Amino acid sequence: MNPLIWWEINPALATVVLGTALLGLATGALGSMAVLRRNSLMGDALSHAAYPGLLAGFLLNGTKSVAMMVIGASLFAALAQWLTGFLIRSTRVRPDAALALVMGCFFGFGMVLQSHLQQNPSAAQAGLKDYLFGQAGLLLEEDIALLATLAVLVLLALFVGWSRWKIITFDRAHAVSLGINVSFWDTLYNFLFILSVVIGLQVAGVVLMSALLIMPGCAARYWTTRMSAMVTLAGASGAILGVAGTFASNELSWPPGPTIVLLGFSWLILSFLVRDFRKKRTSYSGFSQDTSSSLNISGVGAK
Amino acid sequence: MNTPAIEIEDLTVAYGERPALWDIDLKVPSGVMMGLIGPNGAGKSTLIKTVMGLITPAAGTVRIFGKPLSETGSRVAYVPQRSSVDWDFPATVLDVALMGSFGRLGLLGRPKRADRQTARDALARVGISNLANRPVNQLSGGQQQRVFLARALVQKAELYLLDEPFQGVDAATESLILDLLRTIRSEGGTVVVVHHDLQTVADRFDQAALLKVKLLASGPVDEVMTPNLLQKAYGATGAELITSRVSQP
Repeated sequence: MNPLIWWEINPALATVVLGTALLGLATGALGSMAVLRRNSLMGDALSHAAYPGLLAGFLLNGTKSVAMMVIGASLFAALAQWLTGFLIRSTRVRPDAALALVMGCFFGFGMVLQSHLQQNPSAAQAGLKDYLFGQAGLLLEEDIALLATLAVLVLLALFVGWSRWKIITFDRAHAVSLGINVSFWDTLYNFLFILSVVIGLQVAGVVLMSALLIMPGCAARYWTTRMSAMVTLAGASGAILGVAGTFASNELSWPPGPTIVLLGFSWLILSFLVRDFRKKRTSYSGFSQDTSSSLNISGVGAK
Repeated sequence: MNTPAIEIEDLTVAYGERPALWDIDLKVPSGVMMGLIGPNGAGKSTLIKTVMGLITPAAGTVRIFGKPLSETGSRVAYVPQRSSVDWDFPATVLDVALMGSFGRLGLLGRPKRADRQTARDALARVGISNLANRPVNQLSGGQQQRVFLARALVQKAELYLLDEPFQGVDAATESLILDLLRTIRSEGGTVVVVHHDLQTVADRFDQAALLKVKLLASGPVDEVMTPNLLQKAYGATGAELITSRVSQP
């Protein structure tokens, strides 16, 4: 069947399907890197931290402009990421506590801003609250352009830097000793990570964003023994989950974001049951790692 | 005399307020096999991490073959402690060995057929050709150490810095590593090893550096491993260890 015909039959659904597929592709691929770098929690912290930025973008502009809100959200997410790294480097706060602190504090600020904005009738109409839980059903064609840009950027960065990403992810110290500019690639990774969280907020919402990032990667790890296969599978399954979840949500009249996440979780359980329950993996990987290298925030774990 | 492989001057490294290394001056001549010894917390790993540019010193300079590290490219191979990475990583043994070829690869860093062959040869030299396609999360400690060595061999470096390569490996791996390091030296390479076991220092290395935040001594093994100096580093027990050994024929 020609997909373009189908686009004419139900353009609204087609837009959402394409949007969630693109987002699933980008976040699945990038999120699998987060899983390997052990900073899965960063997605959760950043999506919460981005919320007040989103509202601040709205506040400054006075209307719902996607560009302003994305810029505001990105700035707040970047600030949160820097602050987390600063707390870990310069205070006695441990990495997990630093993430929780920053996440709670920024989100609290977001809630205050939101209640302030609700008194303003135009803001109430703009549906800012939808960003908490996502509003994939309202994706417009201009959002598709944004999501497509994100997907292209992520795939391009992964392709161009592939061997460097691989070496840095496996052994950061070795990467430095080979003369790889680790801080550049870390910055690029953080930039893409923030961008996907911020753009994905609209679809998945603050609360479910991190699930979208992490689940395809966690599931893909069960099926693969090489990083290239893992990232590819995570990206592909992220896209498929987006499409399948959107159709399922359309049939069941469930909200799309949560449906995609629930479907992803089923995929993760299935992967676990099929791959791990059947044959116990022989793994000698029981090395303890200190928490700073486990969480590995903005290269703090480099030493 | 040749340019020293490593030349360290006035090096001080601190973690916060506490100095980890204090005013180190050390020359490692080219073509030697040096053991870096000292008690726990003496700064052995810190020293080679600083040489590799992984830690920024508070003061002092490090030159490798007479140049700053940024200009030495892949002439220096670093073999970190096995436990410094998460081995539950999706890669095969060959994948990890190939990572050593990065410095020779083009802009995109894609290995070519010749690089794969080099990696296979390196796996053969460390005796794990048969494991080339095995996922690295299914390796024993000794096999992990061999993979790290293969990765360093692929780099075709002139200076090898190894952090506790004999730690927790089986006897077969231990003697293989030792043979390999000796071969590297006989081919003109320089080897510096962070080492824990005082008993084996004299057998394994021709030079030693004794560290306890400050550098206590460096030079030929028999000049460094004296009861006097060891007592300074380890207290009485360390001195006893080595004296009992020396008294044997």
